[in-house]
Amino acid sequence: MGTDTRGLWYNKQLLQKAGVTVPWAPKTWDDVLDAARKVKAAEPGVVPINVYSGKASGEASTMQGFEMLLYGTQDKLTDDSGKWVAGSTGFTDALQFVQTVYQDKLGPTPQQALDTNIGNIVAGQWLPQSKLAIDLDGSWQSGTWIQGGSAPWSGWSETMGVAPMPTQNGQAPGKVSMSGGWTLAMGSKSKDKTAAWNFIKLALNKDNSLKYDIAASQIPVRTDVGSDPEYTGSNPTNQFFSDLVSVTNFRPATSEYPKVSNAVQVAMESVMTGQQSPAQAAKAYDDALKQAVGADKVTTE
Amino acid sequence: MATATTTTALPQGARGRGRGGPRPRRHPLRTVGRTVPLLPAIVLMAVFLIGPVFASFYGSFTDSALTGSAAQATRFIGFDNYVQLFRNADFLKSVLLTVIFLLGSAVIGQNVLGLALGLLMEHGSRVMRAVVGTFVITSWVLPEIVAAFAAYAFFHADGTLNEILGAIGIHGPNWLYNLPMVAVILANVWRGTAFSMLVYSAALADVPEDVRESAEMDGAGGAKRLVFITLPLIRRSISTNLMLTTLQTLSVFTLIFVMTGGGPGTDSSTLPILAYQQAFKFSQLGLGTAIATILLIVGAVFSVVYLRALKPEVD
Repeated sequence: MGTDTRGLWYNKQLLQKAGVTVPWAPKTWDDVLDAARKVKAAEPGVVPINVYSGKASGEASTMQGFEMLLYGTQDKLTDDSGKWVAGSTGFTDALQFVQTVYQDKLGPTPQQALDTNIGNIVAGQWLPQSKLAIDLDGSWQSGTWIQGGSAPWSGWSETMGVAPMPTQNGQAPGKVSMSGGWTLAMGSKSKDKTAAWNFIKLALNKDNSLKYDIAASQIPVRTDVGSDPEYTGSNPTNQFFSDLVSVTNFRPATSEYPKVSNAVQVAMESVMTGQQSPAQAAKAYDDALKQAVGADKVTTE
Repeated sequence: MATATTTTALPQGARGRGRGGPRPRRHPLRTVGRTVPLLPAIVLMAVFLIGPVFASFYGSFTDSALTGSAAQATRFIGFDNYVQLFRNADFLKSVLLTVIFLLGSAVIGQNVLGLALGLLMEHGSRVMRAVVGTFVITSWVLPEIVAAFAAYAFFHADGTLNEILGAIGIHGPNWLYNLPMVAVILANVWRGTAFSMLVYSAALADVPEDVRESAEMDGAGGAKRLVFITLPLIRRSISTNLMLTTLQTLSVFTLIFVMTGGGPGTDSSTLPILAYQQAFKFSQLGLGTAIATILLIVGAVFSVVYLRALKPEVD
């Protein structure tokens, strides 16, 4: 049906006022933090950067937040053989980034970030009201603002710019993204496979895919939809986020993932609130990881 | 034990009011015949009420899961789920939070406030009764999700409560973050008190006027009349109400899930939130049903305590 990517949304006016060159193209994590520090210095009433973190945001914290950082280091959640990685430096570095954002007061307060509605507040209030300068978020974000979205905002495409999330030190390929997506599937025990197949064919034909991908701000998986002028013209950020597919990553597709994801959120929450240092939280994650997936499925770096 | 709670176990003289002497022996076949019309109801109860309870109880001894290898072939694993739970600090914290939530919002909050409202309304004017009654009951008839969002908006850092506090010069805390249990307990009291108020209003109306008057003649003041006359007379209603509010409160999920999501961290994760997380977020149905079973046991323990303490069956 469609896929998605993640990157940096930024408010052009807020960055300009803070003295950051627009269009903004950060090359490293430090560039991102620098821009946030400039916003903090120039505009006290504005949240410089939002990185979802903690249990309240659930998978958004893990995927839009943590994994966008971790997959820009030399490490990942799993190694090439599919074993879960414990004790990686990338993991601690990513937590360090989260700590910097929250403990240096570059992000929302932990209280704001741990609000169960933070996602709606960011998309529906902070960004449209120019109260947030940089947002590490999904490609679907503009779906909130287009006509028929939950918080229509006609000026969004003039105000908001997009930039790829850079890798930690700018190492190749220079940018990073994560992707999820939606498919239709047929049960192997389906009693009427022909009907199921016909339904899938109808639902995913060009017209219907086009409608869905535009309405949900999704990245099409059909090339004919992707090159359709109605799609590319419907939303100025479609091209940008589609291009990120070339550097994107996927989450480990195993049944243990939700438990690991929860352990990641716990680690993020304890560094953002200052309860633990990144090293301590990473150590606690390693223990939780072994408990969640079994020690035999964990490899230590 | 001398405190048997069933009337049949008591000597004849102590039988409940309104019941006659020993019943004549009936023909056994006739008894069976009279049970037949009850069968459909019994079958329905068994299938839709007892069935799920047993299914959940059995499920708690398996590694049943929504995804992964255990979803294909579920195994019987004995007490593993329970052992895992009792070794988990989060679970023990969750039991404690559930008991705090229960005592704070149901036993103390809803019951005491409900009784107080019932007593006050008994002597209030008709207009007062209508106004107070409407306000209290409104929160009760709201759908749970609406009530939960209303409570979220009320207790939010920039919410109604802090606006009001701000107007009188008090800088309110971030209730949902710094005092999550206080917030959800107050929200549940707000939402549930109407039920207790209705039960107690009805019970108080049944307290015979002559008993009260004669106590007054004997010189018993308001507080004494409440403790020695009114409360003992409405004992059964207290017991029923305690039990119902306890069971309702134990299963509260939406309110907490919407207001705090069980957080921050696990600071307001009561057992239903934990069970949801294990069963549906981590797909471990077996573990989730084990938590549900523990919840059932907590409810049973409280029910037994009420029955023993208030002896509703004894006159």
